[in-house]
Amino acid sequence: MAVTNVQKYRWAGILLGVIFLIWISLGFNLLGVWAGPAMSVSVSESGRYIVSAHRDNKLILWDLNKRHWKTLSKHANLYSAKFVPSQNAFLWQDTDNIVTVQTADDEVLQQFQHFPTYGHVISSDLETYLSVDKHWNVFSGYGDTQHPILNDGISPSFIGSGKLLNLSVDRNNTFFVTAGFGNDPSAIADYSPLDSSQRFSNYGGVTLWDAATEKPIAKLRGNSAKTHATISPDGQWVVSADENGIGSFWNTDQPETRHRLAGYYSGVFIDDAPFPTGDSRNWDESELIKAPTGLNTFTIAVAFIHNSEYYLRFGNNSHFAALFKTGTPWPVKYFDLGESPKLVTYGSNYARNTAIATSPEAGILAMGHQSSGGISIYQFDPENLTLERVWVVE
Amino acid sequence: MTFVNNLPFSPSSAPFGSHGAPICAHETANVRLQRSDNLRRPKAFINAGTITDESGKVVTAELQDGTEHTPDNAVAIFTQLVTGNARWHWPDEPEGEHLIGFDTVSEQRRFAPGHYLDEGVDLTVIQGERKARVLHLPPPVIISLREPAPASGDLLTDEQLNYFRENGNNALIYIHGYNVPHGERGRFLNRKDRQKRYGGHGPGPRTAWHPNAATVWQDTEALSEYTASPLKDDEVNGTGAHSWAIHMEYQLNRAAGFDGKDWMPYSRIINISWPGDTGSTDFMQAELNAMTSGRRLAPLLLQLADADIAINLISHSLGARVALTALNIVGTIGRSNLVDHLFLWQPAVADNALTNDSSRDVHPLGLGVFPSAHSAARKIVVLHSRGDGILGPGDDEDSTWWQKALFRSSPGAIVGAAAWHLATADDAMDDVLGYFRGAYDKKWWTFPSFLDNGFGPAIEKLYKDYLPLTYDARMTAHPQRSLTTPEALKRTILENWARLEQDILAEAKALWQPCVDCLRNGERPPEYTLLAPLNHRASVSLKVAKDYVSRMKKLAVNKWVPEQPPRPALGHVGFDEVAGERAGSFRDRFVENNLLDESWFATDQSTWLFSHSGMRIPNDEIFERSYVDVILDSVLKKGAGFGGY
Repeated sequence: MAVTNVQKYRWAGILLGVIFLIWISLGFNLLGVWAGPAMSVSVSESGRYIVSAHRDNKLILWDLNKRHWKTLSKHANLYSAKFVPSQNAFLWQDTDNIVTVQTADDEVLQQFQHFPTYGHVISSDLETYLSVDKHWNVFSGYGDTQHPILNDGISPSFIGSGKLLNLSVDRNNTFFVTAGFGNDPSAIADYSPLDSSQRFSNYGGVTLWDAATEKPIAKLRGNSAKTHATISPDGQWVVSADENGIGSFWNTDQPETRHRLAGYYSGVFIDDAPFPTGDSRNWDESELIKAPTGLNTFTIAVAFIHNSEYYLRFGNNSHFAALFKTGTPWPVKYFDLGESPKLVTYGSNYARNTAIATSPEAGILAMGHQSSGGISIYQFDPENLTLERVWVVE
Repeated sequence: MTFVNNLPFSPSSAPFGSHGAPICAHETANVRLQRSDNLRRPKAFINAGTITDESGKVVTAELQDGTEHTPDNAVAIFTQLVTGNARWHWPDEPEGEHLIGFDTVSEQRRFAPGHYLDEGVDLTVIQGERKARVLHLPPPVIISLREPAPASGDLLTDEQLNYFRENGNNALIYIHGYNVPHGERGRFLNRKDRQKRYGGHGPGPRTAWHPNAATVWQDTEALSEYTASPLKDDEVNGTGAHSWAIHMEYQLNRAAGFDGKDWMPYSRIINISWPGDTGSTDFMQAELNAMTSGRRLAPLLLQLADADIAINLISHSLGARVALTALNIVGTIGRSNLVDHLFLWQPAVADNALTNDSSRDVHPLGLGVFPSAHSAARKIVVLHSRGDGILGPGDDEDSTWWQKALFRSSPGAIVGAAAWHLATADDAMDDVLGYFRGAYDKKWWTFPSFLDNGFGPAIEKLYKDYLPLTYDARMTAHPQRSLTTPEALKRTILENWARLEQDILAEAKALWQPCVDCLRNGERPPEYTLLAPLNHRASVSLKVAKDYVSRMKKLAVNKWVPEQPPRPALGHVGFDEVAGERAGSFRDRFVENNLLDESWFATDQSTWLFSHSGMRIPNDEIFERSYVDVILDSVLKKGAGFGGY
C-alpha cells in the first residue's frame, strides 16, 4: 500500500515537472523575444516603429502602439537596420547583400544589390544613399551610381577599432558626419579622402562633410580612441563623446571652434588654464548639477532626443544617461534607465553603439539589452524633462 | 637538309656547358660580392663562405682583414672560378645577419631569411667579373638585464646606435611581462633535399635543423609540411624572451606595412630581457626584479635620447613596472618627453600608477605609483581588457552558470577546477590563473601558505640576514625542541629591527649622492639592496627611508598582510576607477586632466582580448585592433615613426 502511494506521487512529480517545463517554454515564447542581442536599432520619425537587426541575423519590427513585434527575416545584416527619415519605411540588407527599402506594411519601395554594409543611411526621397564598408570607406549611391567619398586606407577599420564608423545625416540633407577613432592631426588640404594607396586613413576621427559636394568641410578634432558623434536634425550642431570621457560640441557654422562638454563630477575642462596638470582650477564647475553615483563619462553613444534641442549621452558600464541642451556644456538632468534588464551600455559594447537609437521628433529612445534580444523603449517629455521606460521586452 | 645529310658526321644538339664548350675549356673569371645591410650600408665580410663553380671546384674568397664596416672590408673576391653556373654558400655569420637579397646588374632577388642557408644562392659566373651585392638583415638587438653586467653592457653599441639613427632615427623598445625566461633563439629548418609530407606511401620527410639560430619569425604551419611531424611554434620561433622578441618584431613590422616577402624595409627593435621568471606565485619578487631592471634600463633611454633618436616603448604586463621605473627615474631628473609614445599593454600595475601624487598610493611599502614617470613620455596609451583573466575578474555576465556556482562555493572547488583546466588548457598559465578570476588582485594574499605568494617570501628573502622580524608563537611553543623563550625571541626581533633600520638608513645616506651624480651624467645609478622595494625612485632620501622602515614595521606587525587590497590593475580596468564610473573617492584629477588634454588615452579591448598574452601570437582580430589601429596608427601618424616606415 505504501509502495503504491510512492508510485502515485512519483507520477505526480513527473507531471508537475513536465507542466513546469511547458510553462517555462511558453513563458519565454509569449513574454519575451527569441533573438540574439540587438546590434543595430532604428526608430521611425513618428516614434511608433522600431526596427532592429540582431546577432543571430534576425530582423524585427516592433510596433510601440500595439506592443507587438514581428520577425521579418532571419538573414539580416547585423548593422543594416535603419529607418528612412519622414517615412514609416526602413532600410535593411540581407545576408545575400540585397538592400531593401520597405514600409512597415511590408511594401517594398526599393531593392538593390550592394556590398556588405557596416552602417548606411538613405534620404527621405530615397535619392541619396550613403554606406560604409568594413574598412571604413564611405560610398555614395549604389549599383552604377556608386562612388567612393572616403577611401584612404585600411586603418582604422571595423575590425581594427572594434566599432563602426558611425554615420549620421541631418534631416535637410545638408551635412553628414562620420565618427570613428581618435583624432586626425593633418589638414584636409594636405590629404585627399580619396587616396587608396595610403595604409593609414586621415579621416578616422570626427569629420563634417558637405552632403551636396560630398567633400569634407572640417575635421572636428579633440576626441580620443573610440568616438561616437551625431548631428542634430536641423544640421546646426554636432555632438561627440568618446571612451576616454571627452565630450565636445560644435556649431556647424563655426566648425573650427570646439566646445567641451562638462564632466559630470568635474565640470568643464578649460584648455588654456595656466595651472598645473590636475589642478582643480583647470575645470569650471560653476553650473554643475548634483550627480548620482554610477554615471560614466566614458561614452558609448550620444543621441538627440528632442528635435535639435536636447540630446542624451550614454556612459559605458552605466545605466544612467545624461541630458544635455544644445549650445551649452552643462548636463541638464540625469536619467536612471534601469538596472534590469542590463542595457547594451554594459560590457564595453562600443561595437554595438548602433543599438541605441532615438526619434528626436517623437522623443522616443530605443535601446538593446546587453546579452539578450530584447529592447527597452523610453518616452521623453520635453516639458517636464522626464524619461519614462514605456515598454520592455526581455 | 640535304646538305646536312651529306656531312661526314652528325652534329649533336646537346649543350656543351653554358657557353657551348666543355667545362674544361671554360674560361675562368672572378666573382666580386659586396655586402651591405638592408639600409644599404657596407657590412664587413667576416666569412664570405664559398662558391662552388660549374666544375665542382669550391673557392673561398679573398677578404680584407678589417672588421670595420668600410666599403673595402665589405668586399669579397672569389677568383679562378670556371664560367658558367655556380652556387654561393653563405654561413649566416655573424649570427642573426640573415641573407635577404642578392642584386646583380640585371636582377634583384629577395628571399626570406634562412631560405638559402642549405641550398646556397645560384649565380652565373661570367667572363671578366661577376659583380653582385648581397643584402643582410642587421642582427637582432636583445639587451639582457638578467645577470650582473658592466654598465656598458646595458647600452647599445655604437653600431647598433648608428643602425637606429639611420633607420628612420627612431627606436622601438619592447619589454616582456611576468614569468618569461630568457629562453632560446629560433631555428631554421634544413631545407636541403626537403620533401613535402603527403599521405599514402613513399618516403616521408625528415625533420633536420640547421645549426644557425633564427632570429626572425617563420611560419610554423607552413614549415610543418616538410617535417616528419607537425612543429610547435617554440621549436621554430624560439622560447621565452626570444620568442616574444621574434613575434613582436615581426607583428610590428607587418602592422607597419611589411608584406612578409621583401625584407628590405624590415626594422629591428630593441628587446629587453629581464628576470621576471620568479615562479608563478612569487609576484612580489618579480616586482622587485622589475624595478631593479628598470633602474638599469634608464641609461639606455638616456643614451638614445642623447643621440637624438626618438624612442617608442611598448611594455606587456609586469614589463610596465620595468618601463615605469625607468621613466620615473629619468622623469625625476627632469628629462621630460624622453619617450615619444609609451604603450602599456595589459599593464600589471595599479590603475593609479601614473598619478603624480604619491599620497594616493595604497601599496603598504610605497611602490604602487610612479609620480614622475608621466613627464618622461610625450604620449601614453593604455591597452586594457576586462576580459584578461590574469589581471582581474571577468564580467559575471560572461561566466557560465557552473562557474558562478563554483565561485560561490569553496576554495577547494576553485583549486580543483583550476587543476582540471590546467590539464585541458592551450595556454596553461593564462587560462589557469584566469580561473582564479584574476591573479593580480590577489597578489597580496598569503593563502595558501605553501605558495610563495604575498609579501612574506620576498621580504624575508630580502632581509634574510635580519630574521626573525616577526613574532611567531610557534617558535617558542615546544621548549623541548627550542631553547627560545618568548622574551628572548622578542628581544632578538627588536635587535634585528634596530640593526635593519640602521643599515637601511646607512644605505640611503651612502647612495643618495652617487645616485644623483650618476643620473646627472647619464650613467647607471647604483642599485639599492636593502631599499630594493624603492628602486623605482631615482634616489632615496633619509626621510623616505625612515618612512619606509615604519611602513615595514607596520606590515610586519600584521604578519606581512596589508590592511587593504591592491588597486585594480590598470591593464584590467583602464582608468575607469580613477576617472570613470567607479572612481568615487579615488577620482584623480591628474589622471582625468591627462585624458582630457589628450596626453594619454586608454582603449578598451574587453570585447575581443580575452587572454593576457594573446598578443604574442595574435589572431587577425587582435592584430588589426591592437598592432595596426592602436600602436602603428599612433606611431606613424602622430608619432616618431617606426623604422623607415
